[in-house]
Amino acid sequence: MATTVHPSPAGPALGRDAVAAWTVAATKVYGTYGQDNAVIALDQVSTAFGRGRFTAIMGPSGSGKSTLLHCLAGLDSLTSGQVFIAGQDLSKMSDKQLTQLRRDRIGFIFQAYNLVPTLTALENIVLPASLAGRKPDKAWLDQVVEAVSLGPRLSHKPNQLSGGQQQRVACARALAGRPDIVFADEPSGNLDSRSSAELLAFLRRAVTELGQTIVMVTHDPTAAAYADRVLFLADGRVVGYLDDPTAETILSRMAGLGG
Amino acid sequence: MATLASLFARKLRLALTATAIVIGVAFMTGAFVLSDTLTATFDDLFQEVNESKDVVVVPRPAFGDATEGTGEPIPEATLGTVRRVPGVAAAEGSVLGLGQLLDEKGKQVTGAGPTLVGNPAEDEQLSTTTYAQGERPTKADQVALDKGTAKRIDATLGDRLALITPNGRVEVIVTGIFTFGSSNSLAGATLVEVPTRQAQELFDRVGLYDQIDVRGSGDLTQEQLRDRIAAVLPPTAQAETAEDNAAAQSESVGEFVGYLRIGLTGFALVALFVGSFIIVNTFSILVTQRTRELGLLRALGASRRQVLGSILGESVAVGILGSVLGVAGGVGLAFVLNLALGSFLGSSSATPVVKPLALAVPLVLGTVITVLAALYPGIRGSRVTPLAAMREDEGGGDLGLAKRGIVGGITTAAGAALFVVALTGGPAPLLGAGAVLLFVGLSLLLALAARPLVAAFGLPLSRTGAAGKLGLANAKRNPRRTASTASALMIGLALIGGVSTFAASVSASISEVIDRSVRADLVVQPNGFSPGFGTDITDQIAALPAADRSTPIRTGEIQVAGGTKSLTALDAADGDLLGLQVTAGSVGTILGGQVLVDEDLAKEQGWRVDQSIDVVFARTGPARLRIGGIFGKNELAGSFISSLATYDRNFTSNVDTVALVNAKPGRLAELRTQVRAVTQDNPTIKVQTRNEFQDELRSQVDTATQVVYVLLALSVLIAVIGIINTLALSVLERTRELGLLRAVGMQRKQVRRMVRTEAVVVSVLGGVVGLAVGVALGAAFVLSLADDGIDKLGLPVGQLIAAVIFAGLAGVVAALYPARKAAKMDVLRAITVE
Repeated sequence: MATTVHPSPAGPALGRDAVAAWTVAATKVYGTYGQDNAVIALDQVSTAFGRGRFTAIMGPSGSGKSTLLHCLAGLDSLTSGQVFIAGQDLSKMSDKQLTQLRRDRIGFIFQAYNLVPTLTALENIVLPASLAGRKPDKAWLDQVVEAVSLGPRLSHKPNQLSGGQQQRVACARALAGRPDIVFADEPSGNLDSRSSAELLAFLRRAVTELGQTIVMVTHDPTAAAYADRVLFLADGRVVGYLDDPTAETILSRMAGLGG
Repeated sequence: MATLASLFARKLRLALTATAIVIGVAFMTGAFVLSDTLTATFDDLFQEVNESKDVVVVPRPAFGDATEGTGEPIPEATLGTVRRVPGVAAAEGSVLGLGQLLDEKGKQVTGAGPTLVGNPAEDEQLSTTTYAQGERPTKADQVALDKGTAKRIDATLGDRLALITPNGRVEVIVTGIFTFGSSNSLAGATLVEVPTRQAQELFDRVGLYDQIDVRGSGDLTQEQLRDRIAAVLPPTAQAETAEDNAAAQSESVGEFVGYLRIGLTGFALVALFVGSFIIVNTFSILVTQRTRELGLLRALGASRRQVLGSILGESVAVGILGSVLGVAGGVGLAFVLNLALGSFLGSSSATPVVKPLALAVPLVLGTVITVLAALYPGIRGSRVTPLAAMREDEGGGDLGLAKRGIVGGITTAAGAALFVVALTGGPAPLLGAGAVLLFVGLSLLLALAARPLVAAFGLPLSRTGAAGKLGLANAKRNPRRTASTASALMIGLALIGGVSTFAASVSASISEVIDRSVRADLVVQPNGFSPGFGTDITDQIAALPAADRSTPIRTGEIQVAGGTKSLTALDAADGDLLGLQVTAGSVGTILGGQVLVDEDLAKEQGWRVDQSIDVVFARTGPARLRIGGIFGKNELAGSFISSLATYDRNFTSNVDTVALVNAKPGRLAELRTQVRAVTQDNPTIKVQTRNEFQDELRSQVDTATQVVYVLLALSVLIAVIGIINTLALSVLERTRELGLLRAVGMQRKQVRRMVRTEAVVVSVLGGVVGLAVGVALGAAFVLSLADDGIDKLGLPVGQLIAAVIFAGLAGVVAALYPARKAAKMDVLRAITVE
């Protein structure tokens, strides 16, 4: 399995249409740089995420995969370097602009606590649009809602839904705004294997059939196998890519990384 | 990081919760210390000025005390008799009356008390006043002033002032400035000394004294001297030891201070009661948040008792902390108030008197209330099962909503019942007990009604976008918490609603009362502390070309059937100016020395027209009066009506308290100008139309109401602290959710709006329910007073609307801190918090 795309600051050279997000020498240091207690979570990461692709980020714990996801999503800021989403440089944005970006251009699926308990499933799904004061795109919303097959449970509150159903609502919310990119942080981490498979299959379909872009952090090779490509991180650096992965190829690659 | 944050949160919560108690305790301590200080100040003052006196001779009151049954003044000759009593070193006769001073510009000199006009004592030691500047007045046009007043009006020796008494106006020159004992003034009164002869002239006491002060030669006790003097006195006079006299003076001030103390303590208790709701709420939230921890404790083998103990332990800490801070704050408050009052009343004592009890009672009460309030949440916490350690979102064994409804309903009904019993003649303390039960019951019931009510109140807010909707949803999510937070505000606003309903009813009734009892075009009466004006004014008014009919009104008290009743004297021919409705007999009979009696009193005593009754007049003693007629309820007339001649024969007062005048047809404006001209010399006399008279009474009601509002604002302040506390805890509890909302695109502004919406909804809920309850309580109170002249129910619509807006604003203010905290939350930390 050759590394087919090399991380490069020339990401934009691929054309804006082909890339949903990219980073340039993204570095994140916790603590004061140069001091003993400083921890380098991301070290000069330059990479790109293709539009309409499903990318999984993998790596041993402490490799910086969550940090990368948070910085990509505008939830955390880099110590140095840049992150671009839809051609916009996140490092130059105010909190207000970042918030707006997250609301309008990004979708989120967290491992747990994805839903606002006081809102119904449907209200949760259209929450970003409501926050923007917009009416959701009805035709698209119908398509998304149907894909997650919640049917009559749309009017239920989160505490009336199973864990798997809650995560599917979260997926629908992430996709409902037709974002430039969806970030998923261990979305199936808290689910049983059946719900997990359902969820991942749904994410796969969202990319294949609905043309969405998804970046997912996971430590589970089976989950990562749903992706088009796997990005491997270790010690805050990109250590390789794997296209069209299977659970087996991922496992053998991880073994090679010592993770 | 997490432990640091929770430690800080804990400190904050502790501080906010303690604040709920601090205010009430501080207020109570302040009330105690202030009243003790005032009492001590006046006790000292009276002791000081009475120091050299041994015996005082006063008119023997015909009944009751000297203010009720003012007796016959003491003849001048008695002074000589007393002076000749062996053992008497000196004796001084004094005359004392009420007047009004005008400054150099002719403006009335006003202060915190009345203007007392008297004569100086020749004997240095018997004199209560000490001249600081100049000397005693000796001529009719000379006066001396107390130092406090001189300072206030910037008067110096040689200034030309005017003095108004019932005898008219005198132009005077200031010849002396004195202190009262060591104090600049006496409790804010304006003190004026004029020569003895002049005082007798001014107050209709020629050849008479109001009091004789006696100094003994020192070889007799006060009692011995008193008895010797008593032996030579005419039957209309009596002797008292100076000690008894000083005690009586202290007592009358003490009575006033006592009312002040009870009143302020009442407001402090309300504040503590409101604070207790906040304690209940905070500890409930605490127990909920700590359910897992408590479950773990139980799993590790802690007994229920130990868990309860740990929660109550914290409440003891909060209670003691809050109470100690409150007591300290209260002493400080009393110190400041005492300084302010000192300069206002002219008293000199600057150090507050701090008695142990004034510290102990608020300290213990504050702590006990805190612990009692924490008891229910504590018991709930102790019922957490060990299993709860493994589960999430388990609220412990709280009362179910249905059970709450039953308990709340019963408590509310019991409270309402006690309230009604108290209003219909039951003992007054039941009123307080009933109110407490009522509010506790309502707060339980409110949990049931919270969701629908929030939905109803929030309807306009839900249109303001997603943030507003989420805020509303948050207000609905825990009805118990919402209800108990709103309840704190409910109490304050219920009291405000009750007071404003009562005040509006009084105002509405005033119109009716005045319409019923004043039929004259103009009401002429003195303002401020002045008792009245000379009868010559009324005579002049009666003779005015534009005046049609007029009558003076004089008032006094008589003793009849074992009680003191008011008597009003007026011109028989013009009784209708007072709107008299005579139901039996006729007004004219009073000219023959008969009296008219109030319908209700007549019914109560079984009196009929032409019956003779035994009464006691203050000056002339027992008399037999024949009832000439019976009149319907008239608030200005009091219980009895006599002719002016009957009045003059039997009372010492020589003043008219009111004059009622009718204009000749179409000449009201003219009459007014003419009356003004007659009273020109005397600016203390007010000339008002019936409407102006009503307006003034109403504005007095408004002023009193506003004072009460200010005091009730305290409990609203505590409720606001409660909302801050609850919201801050809720924000902390919802960290994860806030992180999610921020992650998916909620702006900081929207976060603030969300928190603010919740606060406003909760406070409007408390406000509206409180006002509704208050109006109901106020109305019940008003209905119970129908026999006392307040027979119209007024609904203060404007004020109620203002109060709801005020409640909403209180919510906005309360949301400031929690909203800021929520908006500033670090998104990443919030979504990754465990």
